[in-house]
Amino acid sequence: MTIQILVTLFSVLVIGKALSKFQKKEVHGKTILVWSLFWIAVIFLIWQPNLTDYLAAFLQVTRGADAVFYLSIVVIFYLLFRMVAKLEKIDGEITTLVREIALLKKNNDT
Amino acid sequence: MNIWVFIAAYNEEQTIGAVINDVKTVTSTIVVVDDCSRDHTGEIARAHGAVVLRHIINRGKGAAIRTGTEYALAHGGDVIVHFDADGQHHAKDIPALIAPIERGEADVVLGSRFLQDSITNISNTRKVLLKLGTFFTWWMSGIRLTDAHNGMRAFSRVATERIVLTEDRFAYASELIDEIRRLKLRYVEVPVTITYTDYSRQKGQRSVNAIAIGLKMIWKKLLT
Repeated sequence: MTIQILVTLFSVLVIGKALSKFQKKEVHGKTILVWSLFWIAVIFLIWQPNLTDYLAAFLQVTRGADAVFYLSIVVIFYLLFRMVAKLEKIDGEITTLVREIALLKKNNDT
Repeated sequence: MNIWVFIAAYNEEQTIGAVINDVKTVTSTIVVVDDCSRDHTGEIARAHGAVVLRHIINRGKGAAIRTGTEYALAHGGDVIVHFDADGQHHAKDIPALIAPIERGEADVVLGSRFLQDSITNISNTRKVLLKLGTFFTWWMSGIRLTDAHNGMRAFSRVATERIVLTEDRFAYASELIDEIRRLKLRYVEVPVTITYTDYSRQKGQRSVNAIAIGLKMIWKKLLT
């Protein structure tokens, strides 16, 4: 019971924080929608853990909790990969900007 | 031929003046890319007569090399020489380095400290690491060199225009070898003298970084 209350409180907190960011126009509506749906699903599953058994049966895993665990790992690694790729892209763009500024400044000096 | 010597520098105020003076004995076209040094590297380089380009954020040696290369190409460089800022290279080696390009025999000339064992004050750990790096480069790119990570190199204008570097940090050195293979450039190694000092050892790449670069190159290879 304690873990269910703690996870619910945490999820509500995360959704609240996301909505506040949306109000300040710091994130897109689509991101908020996906993020909120994810945490609503977390609340739902923490109170109805038997629902994960359907997922377990579909994935041919013994327990529902194991199915959620395996899926989480896959999703986390995918998100991590996307994040690294995005960071590398931003890193490259910063370098291009820094280079352009260096060359422009030099050309303006001469 | 219009020879441009290009020096990437980060916090090298102790050595940059002497390095530029040394290079001036060979050519007067010297470009220093000050990679956002926190000391007076840029001012000293300018005072010694080099063209100085400054990165407003530190981006690494690979990024600095690309900045210098773009500038040299835009201003008519025929041969572009990479030279380290920490004083371990010697300008007297530049004529031999660029000679194969001037004779039209090579597109890229790579300096090697192991061809004639022209190296002083190197630690055994460093020597083993450099040999491992050479073996790793051979394994990854298929190009067998005696010294894969020597910062002293020369490129013809055509080679410089074709080579595409994307790595901002030290991994650019391995990427460069990959590019030589990809573009089927004619390359040759020539002996150059490397003098390690306490200063250059302190400034040089750390062993742990070399491992990180190796892992990054494997990762990149797996993705492409």
